Amino acid sequence: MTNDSNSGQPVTRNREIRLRRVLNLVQTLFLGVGTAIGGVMFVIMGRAVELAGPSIIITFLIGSIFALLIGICYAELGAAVPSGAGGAVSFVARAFGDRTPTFLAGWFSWIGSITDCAIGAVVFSFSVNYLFNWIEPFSLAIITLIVFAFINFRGTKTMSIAQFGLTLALVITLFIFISGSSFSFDFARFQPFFPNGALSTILLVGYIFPTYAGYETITQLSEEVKIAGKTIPRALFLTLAVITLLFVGSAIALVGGAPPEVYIGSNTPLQEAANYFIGPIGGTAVSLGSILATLSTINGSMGGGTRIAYALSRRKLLPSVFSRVHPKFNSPYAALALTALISIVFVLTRSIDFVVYAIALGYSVTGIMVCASLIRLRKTEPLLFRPFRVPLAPYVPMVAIAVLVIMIATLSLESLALGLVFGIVGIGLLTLAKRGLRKQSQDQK
Amino acid sequence: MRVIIIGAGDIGMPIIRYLAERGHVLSVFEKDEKRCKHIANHSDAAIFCGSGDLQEIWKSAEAEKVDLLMALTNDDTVNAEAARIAKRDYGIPLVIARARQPANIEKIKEAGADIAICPSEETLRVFLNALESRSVVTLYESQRKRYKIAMVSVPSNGTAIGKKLEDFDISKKCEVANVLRNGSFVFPDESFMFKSGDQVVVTGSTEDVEKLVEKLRNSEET
Repeated sequence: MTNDSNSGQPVTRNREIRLRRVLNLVQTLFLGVGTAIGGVMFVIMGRAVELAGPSIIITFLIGSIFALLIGICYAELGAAVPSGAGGAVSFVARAFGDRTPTFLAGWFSWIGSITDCAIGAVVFSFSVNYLFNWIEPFSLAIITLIVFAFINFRGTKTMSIAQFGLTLALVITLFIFISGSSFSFDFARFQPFFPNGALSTILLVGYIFPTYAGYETITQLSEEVKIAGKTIPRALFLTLAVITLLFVGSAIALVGGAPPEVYIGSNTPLQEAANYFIGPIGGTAVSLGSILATLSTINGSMGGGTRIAYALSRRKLLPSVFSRVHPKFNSPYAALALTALISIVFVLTRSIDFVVYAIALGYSVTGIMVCASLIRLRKTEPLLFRPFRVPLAPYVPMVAIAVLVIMIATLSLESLALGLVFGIVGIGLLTLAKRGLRKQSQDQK
Repeated sequence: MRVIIIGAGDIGMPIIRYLAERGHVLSVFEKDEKRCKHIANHSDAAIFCGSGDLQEIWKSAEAEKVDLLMALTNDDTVNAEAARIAKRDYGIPLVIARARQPANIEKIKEAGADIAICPSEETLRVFLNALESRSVVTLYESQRKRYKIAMVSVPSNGTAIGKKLEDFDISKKCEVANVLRNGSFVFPDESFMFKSGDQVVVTGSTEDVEKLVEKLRNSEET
């Protein structure tokens, strides 16, 4: 050989644990659908139909289009940086560096995860309560959160084979629900289509949007996906297509299959409706499905939320206490405790609508930051090869941002106030983290 | 391990797939857009569509965190420049570069490459070994320094059998390093005699090594 090296073995500069790329398109799709169908859809349907009537179907379709506008931005970024640890924070950090936009994206997606976790616990408790009527649901929700906090503290695998079975069970449940409605389907129930006017149909998009929120988190898996550049965009669009079919199908089944008085005002609307058109076994099946859905939601969003707080702290955007890791269980306990604690506070509000709007707020602000990152990265990194490109950029991401801003404006006043308070608290903590950093560097000098 | 690959051609592409399948984090610099698409459809890498000497690409690829860089384009100037940037600006621990011309190996090493490989020279060596069949194998050869290490087998009817080292008129620029006999190494001394099947490692100046190799592989028929 014509080489003589004196450097020997390469020295790895950064110790990073890398996961193997094992997920193909079908598996990624399964995980996407499983993550996307959280607890939200099991609880909001009754109130949504109450406010918009049968035109809730249109609301879900508009929601799907909004989700698509944001999803294509995630698709471009997730495909272009297949090893970027995935997720909103890493995209925004790539575009803006470790600065305020990155912080806001992380901070608000943290709120999204926390509230997702809270609603998961609430819906879980309602479903358990529907079956057994053991204990007051909100108390059960708090107990559930504490149990999951403990499980996460001991360290869990984020993903397992169980997830695939879970998703399958969930899809089958919804399929039973949708096809079961044919027993008592009546087209007359779709009249009048807009009982409260078309405007209320459109304004409700913010309320149902959390059902779509979360499907873009499959970009977080990009490190584990085979040929991510090709698979991630396809999985995103297929996931959106599948969940749109399931949501719209469920809405049609609910409205057509049961009279409104059966489910309106109920905290378990799908169970009541299934009970109406299939019988008690239908209600039980839907309850079991929603219990499965919410268990994975609680676990996933508690773990996800914790990781976001941890990552922000590691990027010096949150005080360093949040990146402290338990020596034995290797879990960021402070970040986890805060995530679980705020989830419990949200459960204590006992207002499902408030929590649902808070989810919409969290994911919308994150979505705005991601779309803005896409626009900026097109300028700062024109040479980065993008296997999937958002058409008509920067106009499409701009439209997505505009849509999200308008949607945030339609959210409830309470959730906007919450957003403001959270924003101020966040900026305060960011300043604290920066000051700590500055002090540290002064001490070193 | 974080790796930068420059050039996704006949050599680069299989290396990209090899490393990506093993979970390494890859950044690839490739000028040609069709090739970029090909990488995206067959492997996992952050791809930068541009020449390897553009500073902004290095920044985007976070070259300061990279463990290994391989410059594999078919342009020696680009490979040398890449090796220079990798070592001087980013201190990348291991830099492996391709040299299209054997004459450029040293230049590319001077530029900063830890290892420079000339594929055509490597191929030539493989072909020559095949040509010489199993009796002579070139272990190392430097065209520039005219230096060579070869291993030769003494045939069963070889004229060398029974002879001592002093029986050969060995020049000072060449020596028998050691002999592989029955699976172990023998270091030949004055009493040493060649046997059939000995595998003899010869080092020294290319011309003298080749002369000695010829004598050692001679058989009685020829």
